[in-house]
Order: sequence, then structure tokens, then C-alpha cells
Amino acid sequence: MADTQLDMRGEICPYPLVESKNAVEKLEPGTTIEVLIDYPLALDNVTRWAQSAGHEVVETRDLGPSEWALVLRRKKT
Amino acid sequence: MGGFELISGLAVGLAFGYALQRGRFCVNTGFRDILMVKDSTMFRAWALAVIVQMAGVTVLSGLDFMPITVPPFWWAANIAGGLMFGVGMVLAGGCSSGTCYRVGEGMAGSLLALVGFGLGILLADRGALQPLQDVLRSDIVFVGGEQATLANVIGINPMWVGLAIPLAVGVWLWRGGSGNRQYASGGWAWHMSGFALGAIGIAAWLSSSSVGREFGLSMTGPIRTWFVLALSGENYLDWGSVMIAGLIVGSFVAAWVHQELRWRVPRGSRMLQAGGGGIVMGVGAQIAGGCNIGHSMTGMSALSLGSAVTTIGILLGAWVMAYILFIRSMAAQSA
Repeated sequence: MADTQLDMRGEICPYPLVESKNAVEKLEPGTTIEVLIDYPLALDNVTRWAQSAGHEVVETRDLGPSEWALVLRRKKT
Repeated sequence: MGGFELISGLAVGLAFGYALQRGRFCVNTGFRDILMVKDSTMFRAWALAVIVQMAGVTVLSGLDFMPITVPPFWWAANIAGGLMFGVGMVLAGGCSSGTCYRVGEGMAGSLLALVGFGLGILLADRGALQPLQDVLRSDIVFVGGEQATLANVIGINPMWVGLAIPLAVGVWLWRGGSGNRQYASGGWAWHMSGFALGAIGIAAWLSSSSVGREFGLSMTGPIRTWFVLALSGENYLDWGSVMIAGLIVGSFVAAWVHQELRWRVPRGSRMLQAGGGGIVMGVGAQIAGGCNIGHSMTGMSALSLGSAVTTIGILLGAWVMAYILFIRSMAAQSA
């Protein structure tokens, strides 16, 4: 279970990316957030941003047609 | 409309919509993210689609295999329309092709953006903003009596320019590598989308030219034909109109087959933003004489100077709006 959750379902581009980035940067280092996403491009670019910024992509859970739970862990430093 | 026009337009549209959906292709994302999050993945897909099509069109037209129409260089309209389109697409959350394929996937915000786009087109084409369009389009620059191209402004054979640009950009793309080919959502990697869209662009030129429409893929004109038909009953439907219908169906099929079809409705304020952004996009695209497809892919492949200038306008407009809406707040958050 992630420490916090962010529901980005129904959002238009690029709010899932912007809000996910803002939320991850607010986390305590080492804690996790579960982002709910229902748009494929948003899943791709949030995942890509997290990896390039050095955060851990803990899990990508398929919740049904075009719906995912992406769990990210903020990097330690 | 003849049978071949109908079938070839529909076939190209279906393939276009399918490729857009599988590649999650969006010029708005491509242009915006190189500035916003320093991610050039989608920009690379666009660049590859442009150079594949440019090389193909250069060779086919150079060998007199097909006639091409070069979009005009009405510089004021290209600059102003491009900037407006760039601002509008960031507000709307998608470029014109991105908006259309997302309608096929079931995104209500994109459907409203498409309606706004159509109304914006009519506003500039035959509504209250028509005088503005007329003023901005009044000065057309020709080179030696022909439409201005990236070749004739510097006095070089178009064959050289149309192959040198793809070569140079191709080397840049090649040196950058393909990156991670597995995307979280299971869609096509950027180079797959780029090649597919470039090839579909060439097929569009060939089939469209064969029925007398000497151009390739475009969005603004075809969308205008449907809105004119719906609102005034005038029937201008052509190859492009059928292609747009095919695009939406192709994207629907791609989303359906891959179990990504889903009706998604943003909250009210976001719906208004998408619709308003669509109107701004439509006005800009109509004034410039095209959008991120007609200018930034097809017109670029014909080496049109007007298309290149419009594309730079779209890029700058997108960056300004992305800075105002997102980058400032992200920087404040990080600080």
C-alpha cells in the first residue's frame, strides 16, 4: 500500500505529468505515492519522467481498460 | 465523389488513426515536453515522420511521379496563426491530430476541443474574424514567381535540400539512439511511430494527388468541410474529409482491439479549457492555412517556407503557454 494517492483519472494532458511531478517532489524521501491514470500517453510520460529523475517505479498495476495504478517511490536524496 | 477517392481516403485515414493511437502520437506533447521536462521522445517521433515523408515526397515529385502543391508563404498569417495554434493546443491538451484520435478513444475533453476547433476555423474563415485573416494573408511572398520553399529561397535544387535535411536530421536521431523501446502502456516506440506516420504521409500524397487533390495529410481543411456541411448544408466533402472520418474510426478500432477504449470525462473547468483551447487552435490553424499536420508534416515535406515558419510559430506558442500554465508552477514547487 502506497503512503499517498493521487487520482489523475479524467485529466487532460499534461496535468497527470505536472501533478505527479509536483506530488512526488512533496514526498518525504523513500516514501511512495500511487498515481491513478486512465490515459496511455500520461502513463508513458509520467513513468519516463520518474525514471529520468531518479525516482523508483515500484509497480504499474493494470486496473482494467485504459486504467493503471502507478506506484512511485521518491529517491532517497 | 468517386469510388477510388472514397476508398483510398478511408484506407489512409484508417491507417493514420491506427498509427496515431498506437504511437500515442501528439505534437503538443512533443513540442511541449522538450522544454517542460527535457524529454525529446515524442519530438523525435515527429521529426522522423517529417524526414521520412520529406525524402519520399522529394524523390516522387523530383521524378515527376506526382504533382505537389506548396502552401503559400503569407508570412504574417504563418507567424500569427502558428503562435495562436501553439497557445491553443497547450490549452486544449492536444494538437489537431491528437485531438481527433482521442475522440476515437473516447475522451470527452478532446471531443469538445474538436468542436471548438471546427468553430474556430469557421470564425476565421467566414465569421467575425475573417477580416483579420484577410489582412494577415494579404502579403504573399513568391520567389521567382513560385511559392517560396526552403530550396528556392537559397537558389538550390529542391532535390538536394529535400534529401540533405532528412540526412542531417536522420544522423541526429541515429546518434541519439532509440532509448527504452518498452513503453509502460505497451504502445509503439517513437521510431516505429515516426516511420509509420512518414510512410502513411507518403501514401496520402500519392492517393490524394491521384484524385486531383495535390496535397497529403491535413486536418484543418477536412475538418472545415464537415463543419460547413453540418452548419450550412454546403457539400465540399473530398478525399480529406473521408480521410478524417477514417482517422477517428481507425483510432477507435486500435483502442478497441487493444482494450483501451474508455469514455473519460474531465471536470467542468477542464472541459471549458479544452473547448476554449480548441477555438484558439481553430482560429490559428485557419489563419495560418494549416496546423501541425498540414504545415508541420505535409507542408514541411513539400519544403514550404510558410510551413517551416508556421511550425516555428507553433513551437514558440506552445512554449509560451506551457511556461505560463505549467513550468512556472513546477519551478515554484521544486524550489
